[in-house]
Amino acid sequence: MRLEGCARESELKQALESGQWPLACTGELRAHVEGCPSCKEQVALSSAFRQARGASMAAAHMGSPGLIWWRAQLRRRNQAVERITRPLLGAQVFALAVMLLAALGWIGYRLSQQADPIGMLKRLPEWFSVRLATLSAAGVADAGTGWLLPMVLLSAIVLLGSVVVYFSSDRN
Amino acid sequence: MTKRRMPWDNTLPTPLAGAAIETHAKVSPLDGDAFAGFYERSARPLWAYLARVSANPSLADDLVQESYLRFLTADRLPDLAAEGEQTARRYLFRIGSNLLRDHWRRPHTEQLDQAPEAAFTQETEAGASDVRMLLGPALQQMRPRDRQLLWLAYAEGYSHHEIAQATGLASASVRLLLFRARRKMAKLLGASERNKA
Repeated sequence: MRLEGCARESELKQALESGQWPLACTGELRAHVEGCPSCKEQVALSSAFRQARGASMAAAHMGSPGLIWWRAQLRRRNQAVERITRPLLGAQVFALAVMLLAALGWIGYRLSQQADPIGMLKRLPEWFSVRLATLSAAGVADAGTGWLLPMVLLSAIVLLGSVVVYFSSDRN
Repeated sequence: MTKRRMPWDNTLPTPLAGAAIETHAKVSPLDGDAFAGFYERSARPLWAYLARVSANPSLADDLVQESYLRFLTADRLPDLAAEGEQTARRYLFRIGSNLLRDHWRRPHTEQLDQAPEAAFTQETEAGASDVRMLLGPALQQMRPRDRQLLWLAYAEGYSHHEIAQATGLASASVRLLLFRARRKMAKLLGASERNKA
């Protein structure tokens, strides 16, 4: 398949774009176009598409540039705010991950100390209720070393809460 | 040189109209008045392109708005004074083409090359005047990709390289696809002429 068109197509294209075709063109170019199928094709297509372009442009209903400008300013500002708060969110997520890992590590450590880890897991709800009862009855200071897990859980909830607050307020 | 801003900047709530806007004014080579002028000159051709290729004037309305928003919020906005308006316009057409492609890529919409021909047979407000002429019936039978290439080449007068930039295709592919599309279109136009006669 030959992709090369006529050698005079670029000259014709220029004439079409500048509006010189057909009246302001040389008679020689017009005669060439009459006898050249490729150039004839170009003239037919260009004329048809330019007519269609003119009709479409006349029918276009344009919005206000002021409104677009204003929306762009808002979007730009939101993008800037998002860029600024992204590291903060990253830090929060990182802190949450560290806390969760610490909690998991602690639970793993406690399980490894038990002769029957599966049994301990089954007794976990009972253990929690006992701990909570101890805390509510005697206060955190008297709860001995059992304060660690509730504190870790509380910290995790607080951190998770801050992430949720971030997403619900700043993002929206 | 002090840049003037459009009066609608004043309609921004006070916290928004402060530092962020000043920052933008420093970064952007466009001010409000320059943008308004550019918009007046470029919005209609962009709308015509998007409406013709998508055959959906409502979609074209949305895409034009989004194209300008992305244009204005781009990290590196073309400088109208330094780089010329044509560069900015080509960049705008590229954004529009990308948005159109994204629209077609979404699962709930048709693919670019699979859109039914019937979708382009509806006589839109934009096409009402020329659908009765020669081009309308022929355009209805072209694939959207071919319409895109033909429009950029013959309505906008873009070169192969510029079409490649706007559509994301390789220049060599544009050359081949445009050649085929042109052949098909010429045949269809010829057939329309004969039918009319």
